[in-house]
Order: sequence, then C-alpha cells, then structure tokens
Amino acid sequence: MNLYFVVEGRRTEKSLYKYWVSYLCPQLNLVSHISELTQDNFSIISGEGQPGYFEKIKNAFLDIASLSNVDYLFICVDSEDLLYNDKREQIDNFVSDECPAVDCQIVIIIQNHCIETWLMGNKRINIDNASDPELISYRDYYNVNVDDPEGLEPIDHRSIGEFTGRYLKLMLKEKGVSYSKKHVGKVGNKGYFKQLVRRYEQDGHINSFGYFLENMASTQKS
Amino acid sequence: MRLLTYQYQDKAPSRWKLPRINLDDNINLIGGLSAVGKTRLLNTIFNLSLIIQKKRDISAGCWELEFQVEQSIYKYILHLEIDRSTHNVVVAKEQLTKNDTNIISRNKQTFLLRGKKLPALSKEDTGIYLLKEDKKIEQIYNEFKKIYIRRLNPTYFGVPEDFTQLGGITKEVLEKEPGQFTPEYIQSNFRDVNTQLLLLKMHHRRIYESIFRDFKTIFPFVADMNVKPAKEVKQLTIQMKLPLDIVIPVLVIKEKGVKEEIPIMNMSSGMLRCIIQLVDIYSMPDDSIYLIDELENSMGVRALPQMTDILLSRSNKLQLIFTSHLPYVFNNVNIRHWRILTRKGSQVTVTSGASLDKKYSQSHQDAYTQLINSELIEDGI
Repeated sequence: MNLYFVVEGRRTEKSLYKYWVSYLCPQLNLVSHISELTQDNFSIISGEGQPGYFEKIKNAFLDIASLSNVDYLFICVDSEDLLYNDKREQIDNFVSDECPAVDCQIVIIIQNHCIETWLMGNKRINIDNASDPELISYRDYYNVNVDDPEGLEPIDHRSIGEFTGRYLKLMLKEKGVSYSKKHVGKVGNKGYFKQLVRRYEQDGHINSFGYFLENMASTQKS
Repeated sequence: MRLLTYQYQDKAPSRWKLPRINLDDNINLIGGLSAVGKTRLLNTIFNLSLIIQKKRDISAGCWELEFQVEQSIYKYILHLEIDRSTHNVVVAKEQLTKNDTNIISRNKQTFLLRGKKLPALSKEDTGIYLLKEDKKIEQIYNEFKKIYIRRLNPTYFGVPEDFTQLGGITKEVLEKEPGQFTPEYIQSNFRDVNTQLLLLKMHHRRIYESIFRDFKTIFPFVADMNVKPAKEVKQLTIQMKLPLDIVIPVLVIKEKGVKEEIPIMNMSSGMLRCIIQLVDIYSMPDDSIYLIDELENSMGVRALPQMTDILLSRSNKLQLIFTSHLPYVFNNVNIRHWRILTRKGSQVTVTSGASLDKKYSQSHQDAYTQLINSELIEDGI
C-alpha cells in the first residue's frame, strides 16, 4: 500500500505528518520522491499554502494517473478563516472540476482551523497556572484546555492562523517547549501525539484531527 | 575562459571544503539552503581572479580547477598557506598545465617555468602574475581578468544612493583615444554605471542601444533613456555645486505619461539592478565568466522573468554561474544546469541536476517543487 500526501505548508505539516503517519502505520516507510513509491511507502509534498496548493493537488492527480501504484491520496489543508464545510466544498469542487479521475481513494483532511489548532489539544500543556500576562488574557478569553480548540476565534483583528500560532507558542513556552514552524521540536514526539489522540477520543474535541485518525485507520483495513 | 571543473578548500580553522564541481559551458544555477555555501563558492572563484591580478591581499586556501581557453584544456592548482616563520600568506604550491604539459610548477623550494628553474621570486604573488610578461602566460592572466561578479548590494558597484555620491570622470579621460575604450576596458575600469553608460553611448552605440532596448522590454512604460551631465538634470542642479573639470554623468529615464525625468537615484531598486546587469552582460568580452549572487535580489515580478530570459539568452557568449532561491528561476533553467549544494559541517556535497533529471521527469509536479520537497533541501545542512 502506498500513500501520497499533499499538505498545506512546507515546514510544520511535512514534519508532523511524517511523524504521525509513522506512529499510526509503522510499516509504512517515507520516501523522498513519488517515483520511489514501491510497496508500503508514503511520500509528502508541500502545497506551499494557498493558492499554490491547488496546482500541487492537480499535479498529484496527474502523477497518480500515470504511476498507478498509489492507493490513497491525502489532501491536508487548513480551513483558516473559512468555515470547515465551506473549505471542504471548495476542495471537493476543485477536485471534481479540475482534476482527472484516478483509481485511488481520495481523502480530504481539513485542518480546522489549522494544524496549530490540533496541537493545542494536548492537555498536558496546562495553562491553569500560566504566568505570562498575554497568555492569561488568551486563556481567560478562551481556555483551549477546557473548550474545543476548534472553537477558538481570534481575540482581535488577527487572522485565525496568526492568533492560534501566537496562543500555541505562548502555551508551549510556558512549559519550556520550543516550537516554530521551521522546527517543530518535541511537538512531533509520540507522547505529544498520543495526547492529541486522547483529546479526540476522550473529549470529542479536535474532530478534524479525528477524521484524519479514522481515515488512517481505514487504510489498514483495506 | 570556460571553467570546466572547480574545487576549493579553506585552510584551518574552518576547513570548509567544496568538492570538485563539474560546470556547464554556459549556464550553472547553484541552489541549496541558505548558509550552505552558495555565495562562498562564487566568492572563492572571484577572489582567485583578484589574487591572480594582485587586486586583493592573498589569503590562505587551496584551489584546483580546469578551464578551457580556445581549444586547450588547462589545469591550475594554487595552494596558499600561512608561513610559520613570517606569518605571511605564501604560495605553497602552484601548478599550471596546458593539455597535460607543465607550464608553471612551483612549491616552497623550487619554481619551474616549462621545466626550467627560475631565480627566487616573491612567494606572496602567484606565478601567473609574476610571469605575465610571457606571452602564453599573459593570455591566461587576461582570461582570469574576465571573471566578473555581481553581488546583491547595488552600491557595491557604485550606484549612488543620492546625488552626493555621484561619481564622475575628468575631461582628460573623456578625451582619450576612442580606441582605448573597449567595452571590456569600460567594464573593468569604471565602476559607476552612469559612467559606463556614458562611455558606451559615446563609443559603442549599438551596445548602448541594445541595453536600452532590453530595458524597455522589461519596463515597457519607459519611453526614453539617456545619460546626461548632472548639470543638465533639473532635479540635481538646484541641489549641488558641480566641479568644472569633472563630468558627472547621470542616467535619466522618461516614463510614458510622466513629465519629469527620473534620475538614477530615484529609480526603483529593481530598475537599478536590471540596468546594472544589462550593462554587465553587454559590455563583458566574449567568454567571460559572470558570477551573480541571488539573481532575483531587488527584482519584482515584472522584471525577474524578463531579466532572467535576457540573461540566459547571453549564455552563448558568457559562462553564467548564479545562485537563486526562486521557483521562476529554477523552473526556467533546464534541470541539467542545476548544481545543488548540501553541507554536513564543513564538507559540502554537490548534486548535479542531470542526476535528478530522470527521477524528476516522472512527476507532474514542477521541478522546483520536487527540489524543495527533497532531502537535498530538507536535510540540506
């Protein structure tokens, strides 16, 4: 079985999906180029954000049409400031209108609102006793330890991506965990990932992450 | 001169090492992560040229290169190191061969020219410099003069930031024998682009017009271009006192629908970069080596594609070695011309585009996308 991923950005998503796929499907090996997909491999291409990822998605379909050894194409993009369903519809329409038919399963993962939203789901990054005034103000406005991180809205005029990124960074800093888009650090660890899985399974939060987990699980059943 | 292969190693303490890199005759696009050594590669080539011309102090390092002049293949090895007793940098090893026949063979003890021992000569100068009166060596010396570099900062090559920095030339120089003002002479002896353009306008009208034509292709809203004495440029005469015995040329452009002329210091950085590069590529002698650090620097979306295309079209006359980070550049240069650098500690590795071609041709993703998603970039340092 071979999986082909087109993910939102170059740094964070490529790093995290590489780790997460290997945690969920340890038998799959990452290859650096789609021509190296043989058996039980996966390959990840960065979409370079919107609007760049549309071209990459289309090219991925063309690749699959010519390679014919890809079983699943995962398209993983942010909903950002769009509603989950609106972004989903946008990608669905693009795939049906612009991309060739292919003989493989297409899985569209909408990161609601972005991958940092999912990363906020680790309850061990506890902010009850936060000391940073900025973080305290964010916690008091919307406590992501308690409420579903997917329900977070910007406190001000920042985009949801900017606000979420800042909130997450302050949370992690409080716990001495360094994180940047370039270097995901400990956030990519298996322990951190398990906490995100737990948040979905126990609290029913970060459902778009859950959708990713379920689809990864279904690849194992086929 | 065409560089065929190039290799360089720093002396201690850094010991930065660039392995042998095979270069294409015409176009070489150097890619890789920031800090991997792309600029350093260009600098070491250019510094070798300066050291041979005695235009900069020698500094320790080991160069090994092969190059072609006309139909002959030359090999040149130069090892410079710090002398333990004098603490000066000296030539520890130098070897120049033509089609495998020794011309210069030198170490710390002996100095041979075509097998004949020479008397003691300065250890702080290269043999090519010391022996440039010899006709054959003079030819090689002159080839090393044809290595040019364009770095990212326009002021580096004398483009003024404001009117107080304008350069000038004496009337005595202007009245010299016209035959002396070859494009090469202009390029090498006048750093200021205003002066270069004035001299090209005076002595090489066709080159000047080609520059203007290409400039207008890139910026179609430009109606006219001229090089005028500063005293005739309205915006400047109000502000500055001009010396009588010096002509200060100023590039001015006229935009369609704009009444006032725009002098060089008010032009956009993208325009400046283009005009400088156009002067470079049209006034360099054939078979020059043109090194460009970050081709895209200062250029906007309008200028970059056009300038890249113009530059590549001159590759039949020049050997281009340039760095870039931009998708447009990578996707418009045949992958076979790519040289991708990666680095582990001080050891650089070079991957040629030809070795990627077969793999990349199997995907519909553009070549740049494939490159930035590859281990060459992700694990590039």
